Amino acid sequence: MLKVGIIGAGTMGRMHSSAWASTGRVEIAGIYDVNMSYAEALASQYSTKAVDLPTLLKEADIIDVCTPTHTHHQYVIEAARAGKHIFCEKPLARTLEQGEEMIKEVEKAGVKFMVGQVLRWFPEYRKAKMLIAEGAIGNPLSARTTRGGAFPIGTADWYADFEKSGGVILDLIIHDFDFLRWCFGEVERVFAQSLTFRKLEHLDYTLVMLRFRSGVLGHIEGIFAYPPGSPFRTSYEIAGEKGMLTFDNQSTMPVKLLAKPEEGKAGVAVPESPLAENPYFLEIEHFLSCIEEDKEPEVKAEDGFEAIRIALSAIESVKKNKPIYL
Amino acid sequence: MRIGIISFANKRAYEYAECIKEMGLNLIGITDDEEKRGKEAAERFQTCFYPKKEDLLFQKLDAVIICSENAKHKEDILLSAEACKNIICEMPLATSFDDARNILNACEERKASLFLAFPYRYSPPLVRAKEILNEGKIGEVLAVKATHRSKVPDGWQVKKDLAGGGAILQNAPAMIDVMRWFTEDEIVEVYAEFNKSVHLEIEVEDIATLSLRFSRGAFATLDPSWCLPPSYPFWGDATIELIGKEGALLVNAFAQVLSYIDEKGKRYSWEYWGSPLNKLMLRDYIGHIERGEGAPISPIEGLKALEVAFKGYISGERKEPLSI
Repeated sequence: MLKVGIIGAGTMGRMHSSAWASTGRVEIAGIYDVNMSYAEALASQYSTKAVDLPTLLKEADIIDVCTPTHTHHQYVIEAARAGKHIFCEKPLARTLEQGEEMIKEVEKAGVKFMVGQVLRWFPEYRKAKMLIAEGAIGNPLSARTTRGGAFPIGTADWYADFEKSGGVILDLIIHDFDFLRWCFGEVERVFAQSLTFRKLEHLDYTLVMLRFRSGVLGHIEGIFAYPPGSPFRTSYEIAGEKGMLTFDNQSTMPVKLLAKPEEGKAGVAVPESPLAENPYFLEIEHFLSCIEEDKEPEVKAEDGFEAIRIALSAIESVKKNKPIYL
Repeated sequence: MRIGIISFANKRAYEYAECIKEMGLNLIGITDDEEKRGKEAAERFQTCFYPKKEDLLFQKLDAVIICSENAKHKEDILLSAEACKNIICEMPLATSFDDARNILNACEERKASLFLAFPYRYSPPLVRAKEILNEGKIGEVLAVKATHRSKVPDGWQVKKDLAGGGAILQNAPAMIDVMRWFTEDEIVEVYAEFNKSVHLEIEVEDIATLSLRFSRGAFATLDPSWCLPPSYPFWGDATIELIGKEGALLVNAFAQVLSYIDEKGKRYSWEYWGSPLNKLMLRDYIGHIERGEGAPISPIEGLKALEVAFKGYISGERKEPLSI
């Protein structure tokens, strides 16, 4: 049985631990976090141990990097040098230079590597990609996407530190960049506006325009701006010469609970969209099968890199107020 | 695992055959009263076509899946039970309550496990809703409103002798089962209104509503009508809304769709991306068969749902509520 080591015991570390455990085909060899108490709490849930980094790198066959974005670089390189297969949460890296160096090390090590562009395993996005590929809308013309809700609160409030997270553009709509590039190919240029540099507390919002080489126009909305507790929205409208596909998660929630308010609290509607298979499980399961069967992962290192290249170009566009050619 | 399929009259058979192939199980053969349909299916799924049911059943099958016309279920099950221990059959099980009960008895006598198709028990939204109810989040259920509507079918499904009934028999039992599963309560009274109204060429009812009363006092309605126009963007719906003492729970089992509209406005459809119910169900049933276990959902549940539907017809004719 392959052994997986998890670095980072925050939200994504928890999500991934659950996914790895659900495969039933790996042993979680250990969990490392700079804050050992987090690692211990998560380890106890999966009957494994909190360990230091050298031990983890020695004992595991696969390393799963679930840490804040700016630290992906150091952990992926260490894991590659130790000859481990590596799953790295999105976005690949905080800067292009980091990303380049990571890919070089991974290639040198000859290990399996995948970036967690999990949207490709969300059935509502996968179905759209399939319909487009089948020609349902003919030649694609334009795509508008929405993603986001309240400002995320991570460990030590790292999302609020632009140098660590890259803000809403790098952290959040990296998903849409990868999805749209998966559907429409390479991006030619990007123009973006954003609240990222306005120094607003826990408030970020962006509107990004992409022009693909194929001529498709993309419009991506990224939201870290709604009040705390707001619903997380995702939607798309994809138009082609022969048709259009639309989706809005707020109108496609099958289960809505209207619960009586708890004492002293407002009543809440809790909508849910349950699936038999969790997309995070599916991406992890896919990566595991690539290791077991020596296949190339669906998300290639280059895909992870191109996604951050689009995002970082959008950030540059915000700073310079001009279109950036990729 | 050796599996045979009797008839592709019910289109679910195609999904089951696909699923069997995906799971790497052995689809031994197909039989069908309509030879052309059966041969085409056999070719598509790269298996043998047996013109005679007996010849397929002679192949030492571990399971047989029956997707014939409703009126043929009885004959097909009784024949299968002689040769095969596990029988998976579409709902409605039979075209009369007595037939349904006799089928259950016959299977029991021959020690054959009868797996009736309850795909909604495998719907992640409905499974989640059931969890929420079990957690007591809306308290005691007082009232339920449900729909399970579709477009008007064609072929044997609109013929009285082959289908046994229309919208009530073909659409209501699945949702009656969900109501009984959710409330863990028995339906004690039914009142039905139905009509053969919109589509004059069909021989069975197309428009109907059932009013139901549960033993613990909750009341409910269910609309199983074939009222959706041909241009409706989806095959049908399955919704259930529950009013409880402490809250409400609204469920639309097929909300997980994206919308597709074509250039000339000739087509507007909802493309479902939720989890595949029939496959989830079949995988679970096959798992039970492999482990030598009986049906995870007793066929008696199907019988009870059917009883409500059959009593509904009588109620509608008598124009009065009927006890169950």
